[in-house]
Amino acid sequence: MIRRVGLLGLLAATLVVVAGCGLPVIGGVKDAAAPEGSQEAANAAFIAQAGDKGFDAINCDGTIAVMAPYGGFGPTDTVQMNWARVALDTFNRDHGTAYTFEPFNVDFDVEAGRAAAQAIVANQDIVGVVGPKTSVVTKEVGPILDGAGMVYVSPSATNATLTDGSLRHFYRVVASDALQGPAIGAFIVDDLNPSTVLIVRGDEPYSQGLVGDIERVLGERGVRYEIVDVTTGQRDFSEVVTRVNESVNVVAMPLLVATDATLLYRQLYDAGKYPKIVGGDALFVKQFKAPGAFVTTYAPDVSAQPAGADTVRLYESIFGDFEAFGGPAYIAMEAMLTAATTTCAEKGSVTRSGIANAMPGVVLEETILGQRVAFDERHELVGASIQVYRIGSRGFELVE
Amino acid sequence: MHGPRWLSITLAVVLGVAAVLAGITAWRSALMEGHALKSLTMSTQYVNDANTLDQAAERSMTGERDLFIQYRTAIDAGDRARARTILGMMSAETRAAIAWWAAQPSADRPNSPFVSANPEWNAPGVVIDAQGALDASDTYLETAERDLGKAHNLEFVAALLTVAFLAGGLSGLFESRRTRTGFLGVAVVVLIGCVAGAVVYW
Repeated sequence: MIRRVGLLGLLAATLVVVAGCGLPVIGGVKDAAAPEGSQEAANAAFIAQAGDKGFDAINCDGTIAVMAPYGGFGPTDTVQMNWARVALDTFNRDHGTAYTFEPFNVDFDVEAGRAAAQAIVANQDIVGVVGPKTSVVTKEVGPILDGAGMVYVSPSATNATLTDGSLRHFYRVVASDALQGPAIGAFIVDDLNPSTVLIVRGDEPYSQGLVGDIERVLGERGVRYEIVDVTTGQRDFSEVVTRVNESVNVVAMPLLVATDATLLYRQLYDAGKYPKIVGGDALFVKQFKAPGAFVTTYAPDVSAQPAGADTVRLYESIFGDFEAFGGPAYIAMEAMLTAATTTCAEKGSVTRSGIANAMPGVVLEETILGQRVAFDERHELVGASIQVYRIGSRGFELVE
Repeated sequence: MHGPRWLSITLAVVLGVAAVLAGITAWRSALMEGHALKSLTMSTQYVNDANTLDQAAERSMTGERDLFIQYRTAIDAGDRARARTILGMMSAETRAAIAWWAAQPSADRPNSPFVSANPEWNAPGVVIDAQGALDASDTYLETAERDLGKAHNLEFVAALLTVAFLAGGLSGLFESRRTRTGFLGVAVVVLIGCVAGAVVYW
């Protein structure tokens, strides 16, 4: 009897050990190995490397129009197109989709924008638009695109009035000027210890909008300021230089064209005047050569984000020179393709109306800019913020 | 057999379980090493793929630019025969890229056909594929490292089990019940630790 009990005990103990070790074998060499095991997990990771977006590889296609300059204007004019292209090719690889794009060479020119918008609307293959680049073109082409039910996501049109409800399908992935102008004003008051601020106002809506906000903040905070007007492409800034006297220690120059701003900076420097310089997002480019100057930007610098490091390397290996300001074009394309793929997954095809329905719900939890992307009811970027950079010896250095 | 019967039976059970566990952990360890080796091989394969794609992209980008410059030079010199020959030397993708570029209105035409705006220019896709292969290689490498770590831990568990065998074996040599129970206790504790370790490192 005792012997039988002993044998039974031995058997039971053995079974306990085998069961303890073996349970994972039965339930999970596959289970345990699939999420974090060897081959299955690695294969799954490669097939759907961007599985974080929640899509399986599905057969979706469609053409996205990109309204951004690609030559003929200036050295940085292909940057947004470059970023949009990298985003499209990367998205296709990650999701097994077959989206294509159609470029439209549009910068500030309203007439070119209108012609492009009409061509886009007429082309039934085009299901969405990344762009336009500028607010002035967006105001012009918005009603045309809205009329065709076409969603357009801008990576850089910042004018505050664009989201007042008049443009139904307009979205942007950057902060509005409603944030930027006050941010520049607040930065001047809080960080630059101003005695008198000289505000240099350009002759176009971008500069005038920002100057209005800066003026309002300085007035509210009791800071003295003066305004001087300049024109786009002006070569001689002697009037501005003369106005920078002993009492002026800050010059705010939210100008649109970087070469104009650089010229003004040089002429101040040559005249032996060294006020603190503050510019807007249009000067967040290498062409603004003004060591020590501060510039604001409507989106984080992609090169400073760990999440964007791989994409920056990719960009550099394709295009060589790197320009940070185009990063939002990547996000705009990613948001557009996410909406397209969402509607494709639901309806089996990508249409303009499908994208229009899907876009409000688009959420990108992780982006190369290190920020979450989602849109509020006005189609503004939720959580958008303004960063201030200083031009230092190693390029743009984050101040706040 | 000395001492009470239950002591002998318990000793037999402990040694038996230890032997089974040693076998299972050794099998699992070998399995994980096999997985790790497979992942390492796949990782190496993807690195090779990435390098090949990268070099192909580099060669293609340099080559297409050189050929395009020669083509333009021949066109500008009015040497149509030479231009045709050079065109024939280009890949189908390069010819398509040049055709797109040539079809653009002069006001919008970029300085080169090989720009991001040209949908026919496929170099970005090739570079991105190379990056994808590199990412896959990283994934396999991480998997291999994880599997190898587990295999080593399981080997350690198997090695630790020899302590249970030693203690169990020694307990049979002594007359003293207290000494035998002590050694058996050591064997049981080590065995329980090894079971826990095997489950954790599975």
